[in-house]
Amino acid sequence: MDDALPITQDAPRPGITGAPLRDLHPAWIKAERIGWWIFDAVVLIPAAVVAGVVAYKSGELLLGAILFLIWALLAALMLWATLAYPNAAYRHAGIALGELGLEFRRGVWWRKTTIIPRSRVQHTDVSQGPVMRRLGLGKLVIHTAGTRNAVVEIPGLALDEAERIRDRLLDRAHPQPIDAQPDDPQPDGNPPADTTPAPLEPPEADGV
Amino acid sequence: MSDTRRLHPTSPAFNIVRHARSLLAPGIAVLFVGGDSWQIWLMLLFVPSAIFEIVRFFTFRYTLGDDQIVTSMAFIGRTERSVRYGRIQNVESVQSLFHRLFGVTEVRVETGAGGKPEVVLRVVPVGEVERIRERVFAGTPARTSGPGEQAGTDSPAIEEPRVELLRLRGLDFVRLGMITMRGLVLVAIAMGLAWEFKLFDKLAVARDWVLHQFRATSDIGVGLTAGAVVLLLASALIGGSVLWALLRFGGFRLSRQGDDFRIESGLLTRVGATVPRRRIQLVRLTESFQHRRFERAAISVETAGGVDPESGNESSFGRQWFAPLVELDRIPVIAKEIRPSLSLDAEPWQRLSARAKRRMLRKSLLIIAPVTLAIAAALFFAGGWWLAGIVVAGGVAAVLFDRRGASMIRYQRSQDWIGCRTGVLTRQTSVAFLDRVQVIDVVESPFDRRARMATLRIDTAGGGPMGPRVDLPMLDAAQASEHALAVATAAERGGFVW
Repeated sequence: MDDALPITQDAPRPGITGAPLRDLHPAWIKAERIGWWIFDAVVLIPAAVVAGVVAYKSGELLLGAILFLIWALLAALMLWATLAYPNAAYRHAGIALGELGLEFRRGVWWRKTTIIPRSRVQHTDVSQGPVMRRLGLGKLVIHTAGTRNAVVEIPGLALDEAERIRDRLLDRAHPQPIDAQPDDPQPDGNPPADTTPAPLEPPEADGV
Repeated sequence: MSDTRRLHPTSPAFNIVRHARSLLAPGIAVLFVGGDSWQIWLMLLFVPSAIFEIVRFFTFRYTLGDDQIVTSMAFIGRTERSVRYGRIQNVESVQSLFHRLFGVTEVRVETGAGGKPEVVLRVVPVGEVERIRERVFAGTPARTSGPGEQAGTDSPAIEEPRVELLRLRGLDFVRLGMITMRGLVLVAIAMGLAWEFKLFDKLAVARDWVLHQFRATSDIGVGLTAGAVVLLLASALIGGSVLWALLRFGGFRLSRQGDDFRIESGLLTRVGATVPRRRIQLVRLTESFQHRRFERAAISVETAGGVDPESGNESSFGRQWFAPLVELDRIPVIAKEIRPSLSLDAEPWQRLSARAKRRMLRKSLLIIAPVTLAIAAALFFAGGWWLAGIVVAGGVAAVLFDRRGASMIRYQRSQDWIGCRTGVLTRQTSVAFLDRVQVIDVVESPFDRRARMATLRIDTAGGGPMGPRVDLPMLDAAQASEHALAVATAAERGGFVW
């Protein structure tokens, strides 16, 4: 298959549909982090101002100290998330384009794998925000006739990659027997031996 | 070949009356009862809306073309709308008592886009409904049957016999009334009015009357009065419910003609709906507590669209009330009519694994136990041991109920469909056809990952936010992936069909 998405992890992960999961573009980490920084600024600066005004007006040192402590805790938490979360999100995200259709995996705590069969793609958009444009990234938006998944957004693709996936999806968006591509090396319909994602916890922990 | 027609000459009258009901009625009510004055100003809107309706009547045309229905209207600008027959999901007619007097009806044409019907013809002669239905559902290229459908049913040129599947009569309306209990609304309105007119104050008068009549002591008098009021409310509730069922479902008939299901219903306002069999995406069997008392069940179906995006309500009568009251042994018959492979029986569906059931029990214990104990402890110190005892008993009952819920969950994937069954008091079985599945999700929460489990979620067109869903919780992760792959493969093989 000519979907040469960069594989930056040690081994390609097996996807549910059989095609190996490939990573999103590494620049996505940066894009996500910029988003987080903006979010941090929007939350933390007004919070600091409000806390400062409240502490100053009350004139109580203890209240000021407590407010500062809460603010600092929040700031530390958000800073940690800003630094760590985009990396983790990148590590756990993956995309595979096989004969069957598109498989997209995302989520750090709650992990979600979405499979969109080829014939279910109604139409697609490729969009770019200002930050993404800077980094040469694009977002592939796939519209289906579903209800909960009427719109599936795949961020963090290189723009040309997003366009290429779109073209390949639309290429065969019309119903066609899927066995009709003998030149494709990806065998279809055979589930990979192990599709269980590696658990973070030790396997013997059988809890709620 | 195409012909262009106008609406029936009585159309503006019906439409103006419709506006009058919504614009004038509140204002008039305000004049008599008193209330907000904005409702009086609302009455002024009536004049332009009446003018609009008259202009609409003179400029509105609809055309049944070879492969599409086109409506056009000129009001300031010109609007033309074309809807392809192949995209139409449902043609529904609604005929009120007044419509019947004039031999006219309202026709609604829906596509998969959801929300309001794409074309509303308000109003046309009764004979037009059949003509529109024939043009829309006959001989269109989209009518070729897809996989999993009964062969030999798509010969639209010949008039096919109607197979009757369900008819409601006699005691059915009592049963349906007791099941749906729509009389609650009536009783609530009555209570509201009673409050508004201070009827509750008159209860004292009633009590005094009872005391006087029976020369009873005060306690017995109060008891008698209360009993009478309760009896009155209960009979109003049941009577109202049965009346509602009778008005809504009088003459209910579900039948199949060729590849279309036909639903006719209503004593005063007649509703006629057409649900093309091949457009059905999802089937739901509902067995509520009341249903089971009467040994009946309800079947509803989902086609694409038709859900009001604002309220999330099903907008189509034919889908919501596909088969509102089915005898248990008739369920397989109707299921087979929807799709030969469909089975809605509870067995031999799979249960959750013992591991999953343990996990669910643990989950409900972890949530319910601390809350129960905290409240019980607080009550013990504040109110006494018996209050705490009640709370603890409630907590135990809640956990047992949850446990029963976990053991009630069933799922099954066949060659042709995937379904799940949930619920303790109200049991619901939802089945999605694999060749109609749109998107498949495998979701793992952190707890799922600890237990190496996953939830499989099936997304189809139709259903909406409040609608039925096919979710298989707490499967073994490998099993969930296996199901997901199988469903995706079947969906892709089926090609896209509405």
